[in-house]
Formats: sequence, C-alpha cells, structure tokens
Amino acid sequence: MALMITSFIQRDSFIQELNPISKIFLILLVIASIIILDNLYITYFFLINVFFLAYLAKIEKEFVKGITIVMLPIAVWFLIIHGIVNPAGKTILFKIWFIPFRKEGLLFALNFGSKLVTIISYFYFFIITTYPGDIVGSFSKIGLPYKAGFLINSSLQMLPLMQRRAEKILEAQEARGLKVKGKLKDRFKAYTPLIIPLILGALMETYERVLAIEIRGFSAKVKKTHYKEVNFEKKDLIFCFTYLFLTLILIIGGGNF
Amino acid sequence: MKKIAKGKIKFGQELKNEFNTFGLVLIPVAIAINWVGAYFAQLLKLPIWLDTIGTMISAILVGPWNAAIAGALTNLIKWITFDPVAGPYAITNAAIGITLGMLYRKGWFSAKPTVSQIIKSGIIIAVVATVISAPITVYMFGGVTGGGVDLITAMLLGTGGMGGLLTAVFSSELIGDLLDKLISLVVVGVIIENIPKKYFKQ
Repeated sequence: MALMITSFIQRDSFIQELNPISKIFLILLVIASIIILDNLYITYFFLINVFFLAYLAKIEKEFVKGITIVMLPIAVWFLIIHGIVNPAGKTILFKIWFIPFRKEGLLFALNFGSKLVTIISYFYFFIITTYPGDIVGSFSKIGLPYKAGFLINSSLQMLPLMQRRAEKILEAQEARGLKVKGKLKDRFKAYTPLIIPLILGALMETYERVLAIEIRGFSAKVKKTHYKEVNFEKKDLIFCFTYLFLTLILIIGGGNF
Repeated sequence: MKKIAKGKIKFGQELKNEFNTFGLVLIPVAIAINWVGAYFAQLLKLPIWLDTIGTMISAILVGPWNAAIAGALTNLIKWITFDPVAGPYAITNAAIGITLGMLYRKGWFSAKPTVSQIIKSGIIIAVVATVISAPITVYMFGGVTGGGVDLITAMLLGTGGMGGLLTAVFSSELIGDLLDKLISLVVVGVIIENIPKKYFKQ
C-alpha cells in the first residue's frame, strides 16, 4: 500500500469553488446508492462519474495517478487472496502453478472491491478538490462547533507536515548509517531510531502549539469570525439537484440494468 | 492492583478535562503519529501495522476517551485517503486507546513501565484488539484485508480449517496483534520515560 498524503490542488474550475457540503452530499448519495442498490452497473456508473468530475476539476492526471498507485495493488491483492482462500469458493476457474482460483471468491472480490474503490475514490476526490479552510468554514455555517472544525482541519494539515518530518528523519538516520533494507531483524531494529525522534519532536511542538493558539484566543468564549466566508451559491444548488435527480432515477429504476 | 482516585470526579467533568486545548491539539498529533508509525512500518516492510502508537501515547498523556477519538479518527482518515479497509477498524483503534487509558489509571501501566507491565498490558490490549477486529475481518471483508496476517490466515485454513474462518482469522490476528502491541508499548514506554513529568496532564 503506497502512502499518499493528499493535499489540495488548486485549479481554475468550479469544482474547487463548490461548497464542501455539496460534495459531501454527493458522497452520501453515492454511498447510499451503492449500498442500497447493490448493483455493479450503478457502481461502475458512479466510478466513471468521479473520473468525469476529476476531469472537470482539471485534476485528472493527479487523480488517476493517485487512484492507481493506491488502489491497484490492493485490488490485485484482494482478487488474488479471495480467489484462492475465500470459503465461498467452489468452482475452480483456472490454476496458476498448482494454486486454484475459484469463481465465487473472485466474484466476491470484484463485487466488493469495486464498491470499495468507488467510494474511496469519491473521498479522495473530495480531499484534493477542497480547500481545507473551506471545509471547516462550511461546517460551522451549519452549526458545527469550532473546536470540532479545528480538529478536522488540524488533522488534515498535520499529516503532510508529519510526513515531511518523517522523510527528513529517515534521511538523517540513513546518513548516520541506519540499515533500512536487509534481514527482518535489522529492519525491526531500524524502527525505533526512526519513530522515536519523530514522536519526541512532534510532542514538543504540541506544547508550543497549545501556547500559540491560546494566545490567539482559542478558548475564549467569544463568537469566532472567519477569514473566508463559505456560502451556498447557485452552482451548489445546480450541482446538488442534478445528482439528486440522477440518483432518484437510478433508485426508481430499481437497479434494473 | 486497583487504585481508586482520591475524590472521584464526575464523568462529565472528566470528559471536559480530556478535551481541553492541550487534549484537542494532541489529537491531530496523535493521529499523525499513528500515521507515520504505519508509514515507517510499511517502509521497512514489517509484517505488522504499528498504527496505534499515537493512540497509546494520547491514552497516557491525556486519557482514554481522548485516545479513543484520536484512534477512531486515525482510521477514518486512513480510510478516506489510502486504505480501503481501514474504516471499520476505527472501533479497534478506539478500544485500544480506552483499554490503555484504563490500564494506566488503574496502575497496571505506569509512567516508567517495567518489562512485566509492558508484557501484561501488551497481552491484554492485543486480546482486546483481536476480539474486536477478527469479526470485522471475517464478516465485512470475508477474512482478508491485504495485510501480512492474511498469509497466516491462508496457511491456517489450508491445514483443514480447524473450526472455520473465524478461528483462522482470530489466530492470525492474535499473533500479529501480540507482536504489534508489544513493540508499540515498548516505543511508548521509551517516549514517556523521557517526557518531563510536568507535561503529563493526568
């Protein structure tokens, strides 16, 4: 599994300007449809749709790259393991070497795997097309307490920061002669010299950060204002209604495809 | 080995204490530590997850409920960014935080943990984690999640499936979890030994 730290990509399209709530609405519609209708064609429809949206958002290259790097190895692994080991498997479709791959297992992996990939793709799409500051802004407009918004925002910000820290520490320790490849025992031993400097550094920073935000009035019981206002605009309504309409058609069609 | 806190505080107040500014700021940091813990484990191609170190540190520095939130959010964020199977295990991560937090409060795990404390706590936490994760693995993912333990599961099933899929998954998870949690607790022990006492909020 490759580690992808996703960050917002700024492009000049309406998708980045949409209220994050609209995109979350879409995600909920997709999840509801895929789970309620349990239909593979609908799943693939939504999968194609998210790539279409990525194209509209002008991030199609990064999106495809991200999805392939992350999903493909997992999908293949899923197919292989379920094809061989899943208890529902009876009919042998083919053999590689002498290991039998069974139809029911493969079908399960295909079915479940496609649904999972589709849903995750939407979340990934959301993350890279939404400015993190907007996420919190839009939530607090609909009543989310600012501390919860802080949590979400801070977590999304912290991850790329920590990732960079981790890479720096890795380089520093390797320069000091740390073995990161080779026998399992060596690799296990290499873990603590990597993780401990990181954690200690991160914790020390935490104390400084608490001080910094307290000084800026974090806990003060006053009304907070926002640097950037996030509102519901016409494009949000159009976006939401289009997808609501599409989803209703799919549901009424009863998944009869 | 039970220690009852002098002057028990009400649960509501207890929760508020865990979510003060320090607690709130620590949550994203704990999430990031969990994340990088897993990152290094993958980088070094280790067969275990090591994605609960942040949760554990939060459990000791702040408390069980803060750690539960940090743990749950870790898995949810992992889920929506790169790991399609991480979501449901948010419960496991949260449970690990709650367990260690309680163990710490009851004195089973101290700020200067001894080897025996680490081993006992490690086993308890590993069992809790396995008991919660194994059914999730079996019923949501058909027994397979793409981690190293899948190979052990496959092996156990191959030997005539002693008791079926749940047993095989349970056993492989337990082996993985024991190793994972023991190593995590060792790391946690080293860290908290080296943090000045005044930084502990409980």
